[in-house]
Amino acid sequence: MVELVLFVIFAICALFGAVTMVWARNPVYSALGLMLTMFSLAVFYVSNAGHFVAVVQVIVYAGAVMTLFLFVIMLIGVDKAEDRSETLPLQRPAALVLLALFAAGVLVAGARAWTTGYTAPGEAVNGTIEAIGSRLFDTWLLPFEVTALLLIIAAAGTIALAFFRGDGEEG
Amino acid sequence: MALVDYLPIAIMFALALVFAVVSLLLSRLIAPHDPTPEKLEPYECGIVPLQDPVQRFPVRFYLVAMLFVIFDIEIVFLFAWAVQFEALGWPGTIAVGVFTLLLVETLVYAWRRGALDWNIPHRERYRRVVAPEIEEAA
Amino acid sequence: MSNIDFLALGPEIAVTAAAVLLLMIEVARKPSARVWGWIAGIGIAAALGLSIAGWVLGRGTDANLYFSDMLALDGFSAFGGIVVFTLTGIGLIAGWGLVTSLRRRGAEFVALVLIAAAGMHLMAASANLIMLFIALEVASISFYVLAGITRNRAADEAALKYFLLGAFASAVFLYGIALVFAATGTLSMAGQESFLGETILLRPGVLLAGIALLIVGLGFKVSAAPFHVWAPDVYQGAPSGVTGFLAAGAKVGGFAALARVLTVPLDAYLDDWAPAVAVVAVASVVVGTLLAIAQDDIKRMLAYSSVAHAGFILLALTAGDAGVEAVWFYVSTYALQVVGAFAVVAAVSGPDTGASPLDSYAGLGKRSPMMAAGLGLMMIAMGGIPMTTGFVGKLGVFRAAIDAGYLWAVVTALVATVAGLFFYLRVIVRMYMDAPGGDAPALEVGRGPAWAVGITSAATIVLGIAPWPLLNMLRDALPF
Repeated sequence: MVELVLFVIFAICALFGAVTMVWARNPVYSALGLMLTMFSLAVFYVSNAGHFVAVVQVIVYAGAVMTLFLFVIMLIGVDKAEDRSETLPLQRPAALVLLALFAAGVLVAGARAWTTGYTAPGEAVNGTIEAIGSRLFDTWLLPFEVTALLLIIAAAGTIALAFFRGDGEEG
Repeated sequence: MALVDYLPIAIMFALALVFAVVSLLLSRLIAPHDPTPEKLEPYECGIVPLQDPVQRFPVRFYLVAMLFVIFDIEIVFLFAWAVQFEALGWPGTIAVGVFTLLLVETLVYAWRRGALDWNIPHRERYRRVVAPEIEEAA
Repeated sequence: MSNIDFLALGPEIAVTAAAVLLLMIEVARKPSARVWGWIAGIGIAAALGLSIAGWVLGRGTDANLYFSDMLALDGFSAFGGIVVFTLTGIGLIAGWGLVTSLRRRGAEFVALVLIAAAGMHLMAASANLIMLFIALEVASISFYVLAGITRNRAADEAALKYFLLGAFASAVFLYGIALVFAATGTLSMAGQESFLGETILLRPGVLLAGIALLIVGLGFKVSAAPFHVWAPDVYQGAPSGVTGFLAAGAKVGGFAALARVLTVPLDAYLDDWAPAVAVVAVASVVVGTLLAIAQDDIKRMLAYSSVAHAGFILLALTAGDAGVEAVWFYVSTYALQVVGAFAVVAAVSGPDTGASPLDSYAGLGKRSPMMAAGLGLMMIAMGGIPMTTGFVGKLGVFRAAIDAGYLWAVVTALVATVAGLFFYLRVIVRMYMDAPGGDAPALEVGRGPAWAVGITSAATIVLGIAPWPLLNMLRDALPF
């Protein structure tokens, strides 16, 4: 019961944040809306016993990544008015029609065939950091190591694109 | 762990919210409201600002934030290893060692590239304007 | 930690070590571009050698899964490695002019190319959907940076568009993984294969939705219509010296992943996904061919033609397992054609510029007979004319699709092939029939593009006339 109430509250928060993120004209509001969504997702992780993931969600996404976003917004400048004119005139109606079709598809599927074929095993989900630690370095060792490649790309790519000026000199 | 264990966090959030709302309300209610043109200036004494203070940040902030995210993620993984340090034993240590080595390499690379160097524009300006005969040190 | 195997992971270790070493030497000594070239060359050669060793030991055998079923060493992954690292080597040679023009940033460029190669090979070798996702991201994010490496306006636009749409496609792909996981209860492809083979899902809605999203996500990466809108802008805006590598790499990695995902874990649902793949294939062929006719920039034209080629390759996938050989033949030979064609583009328009209008190819036959011949050959091969690999490849995919019962799709594709000849031959006409505009001197061609064009032309002709060695080899290149 408590979980249901919490779910409803934070589902509304998550949707509100997401809509704000897309809708707000001021990019700072967009970033804050996204942050609300991130926090709400962290609550969902907790209610699904993903404790470690929830903490990571708050630390990395709501913390570090949001800082990055705010820096980028400041970089571009919040003083600029957003230009909302579009080169393709029918974009918005088309998007709405497609969205409605997608929603209809989800509803039909949900009513008719939306059952998962797999019944979960009886063991309870264990999302504590100890459980994650012991599985991350055993079963999931290779993806973990390959993540280091992603981080190298991030550093090299950032420095190649942002640190050098167009002529290849440091600046 | 159960959902109940998160109650202290929820209470803390509630307290923070209450504190913010109550302080704003109280200051609205208690504080005397008597504006004069001088009080509405950004600075009551000093130069009247001529332009909007909202400015663009230099791209360097982005660079630092990106590097911060990278090493933040590294810490998250290290944390997961540290709590299981004994159970994982040498294989875990080697696994984390390889990962950390790759990231230390990234740090050395970023450092030596000068990505953490804040004052390059000043140095360059100095070189160009003040002392053009000095060659930029590598 | 069970079954670590350093042969399965060897190619990745080789190129990653090369990339790391390159960056370290770069920040310690600021060496000349020649040193980067040596390090990258040794790394790629070692990776290629390890892939060949993997081929000798791993082909034709049953499931060799390592790292807790994360990585497969089979004929499929080994052949993928051979294609990927050959491609990376030729791509770097063709674009070396870009590396030197980037000055110190060339080090990051070469390192990113090496890591992208590791990502592409992992895409072919992943036996787990999460592993596949990370491999896909390693390759894709390197590609986004490479597309914008010159930091001029066109490259910035290309990189940003590629990144935004690519991130969206990755999210769709991840959603597909989540739904397939929900339906099967495992992320391991071998586990999914046995689960779906043994269990009959009465209401497979979640699984089918997951399959659809997986096809959409990977369809984006291989620029199949209607997920192709990024391709023309990225191809045109990205510096010519790297466009060939981006285009060919995205195709090889994407199709390797698509072939394995569709034919290994989802094989039991062939009847459900094959019609969807056929529709996407026909849409790609038609859209790509029609829009390529209207282009007056050769890079945009090649982009739309790559959409059409994605459609041809998808046709073979409608046959499931039986089509994988045709997919491999087509995608590996097409990748060589693309790299060769873009090497000529880089020679004509400069490796660091984006746009390459068709007008600048007028009279190329006089300005540089070798480049003109090379580009002409690539156009003929892409058009599917006999005696080239393009013809053998098309024959293979058409046969696979007919055997699978998609005659209507093959007929459409045949019509599109004929229509496509128009814009391929138009390039040849411009090169040989038109006089060069103004005072066009003889084109100075660097050694890099010359070698790249030479190698790819030779491969295109030799394998076009005598495809049997490769075709025989591909019999062993099936996924586990």
